[in-house]
Amino acid sequence: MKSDKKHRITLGDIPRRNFQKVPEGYFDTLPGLIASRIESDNKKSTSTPVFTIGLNWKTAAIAAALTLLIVFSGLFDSVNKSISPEEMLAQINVEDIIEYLDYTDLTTYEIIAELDIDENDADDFLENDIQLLNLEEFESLDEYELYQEYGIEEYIF
Amino acid sequence: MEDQELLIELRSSETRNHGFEVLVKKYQEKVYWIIRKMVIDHDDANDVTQEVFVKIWKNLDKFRADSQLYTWIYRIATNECLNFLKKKQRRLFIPWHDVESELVNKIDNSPYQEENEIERKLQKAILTLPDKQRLVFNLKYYDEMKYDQIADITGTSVGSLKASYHHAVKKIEKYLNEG
Repeated sequence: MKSDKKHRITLGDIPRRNFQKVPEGYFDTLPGLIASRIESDNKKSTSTPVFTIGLNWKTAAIAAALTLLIVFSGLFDSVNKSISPEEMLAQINVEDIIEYLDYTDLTTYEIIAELDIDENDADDFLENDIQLLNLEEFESLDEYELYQEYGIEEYIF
Repeated sequence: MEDQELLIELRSSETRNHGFEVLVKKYQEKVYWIIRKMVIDHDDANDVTQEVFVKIWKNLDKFRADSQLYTWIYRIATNECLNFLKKKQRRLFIPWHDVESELVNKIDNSPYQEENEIERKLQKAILTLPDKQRLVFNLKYYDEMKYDQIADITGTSVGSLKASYHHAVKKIEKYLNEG
C-alpha cells in the first residue's frame, strides 16, 4: 500500500555546505585592509584623543556609569557624595558618552567595579541589566518562562 | 606555522609584525565565515572581521597562554559578532523580528550567494533562532566543532550546548516543514 504521508524534511536532507560567496580575491586583499585599519587606528589614537577634555578611561567609565544610573536606575542617591557627577558630566558631551559606550569593551561588571557604591545597589543594578539582556534572547514569553524556571545559563547557551 | 611558534613570534617586538601577518592569513577565512553566517551581509562581515583583527592586534599583550590561541581568536570574533547585532538593534531602536526581517531580506537579495531554494530556506530557518543559539548552531553544524571546543569559546557547559543545539535543530526542522 502506497503511503500518502508527506516526506518530512530533516537537516540531513540538505547538503551541508556554505552557499554564501565573497567577492573574487577578497581574502587576498583582507590582510591589507586590516593593516590599513590598524595604521589609521594608531594615527587616530596618537593625534586625536577620544575625549578632548582629557579624561582617562576610568573617569569616563565612571561618568558613563553615572549617566546610566541617573537615567535608568534611580540609584543616584546612594552614590558617594564626594564625587561630583554634575561637574563631571557637565564637561562631557552626551555624544561623547554614547560614542564611548558604543566602542568600549567594558561590561557592566567592570563599570560597577569602578564605582564606590553599596554592594546591594550594585547587585540590583546588575540584576536589572541581566534581565534586560536575557529578554532579548527569547522569541516568546513561554520560552522566557521556561528559561527562568530551568536556570539562566542552561537553556539558550 | 603552528600556534605555539606563532605565539613566540608574537611575543617578540622584532617578529611581532610578521607573526601577526601570519596569524591574519591563517585565521582570516575562519573568522570571516563565523561572522558572515551571523551578520549575513558581506559588507557588515568585512567590517566586523577587520575590527576583530584590530582588537586581536591591540590585545596581543593581554593574551595569556591559559587558553589556546584559536579559542581566544574565536572568542573575540563571536563577541564582536554578538555585539554588532545587539548594537544594530539598539541603534535603530527596532525589535528583533525587524532585524531578522532585514537579514532575511539580505539573504534574498545578496549578490554573493548561490541560488538554491532549500538552502535559502535553511538560512531563513536559522535566522529564527536567538543570536547565541544561532552561533552555537553554526559552530556545530557548519564548522563541525566539538562541543568542548565550543564550550571553551563561549564559556558555557557542554551540557547546555548540547541542549541548545538539539533545540535549535528541532526548531529549524519545524520551520523547514512549514508552508
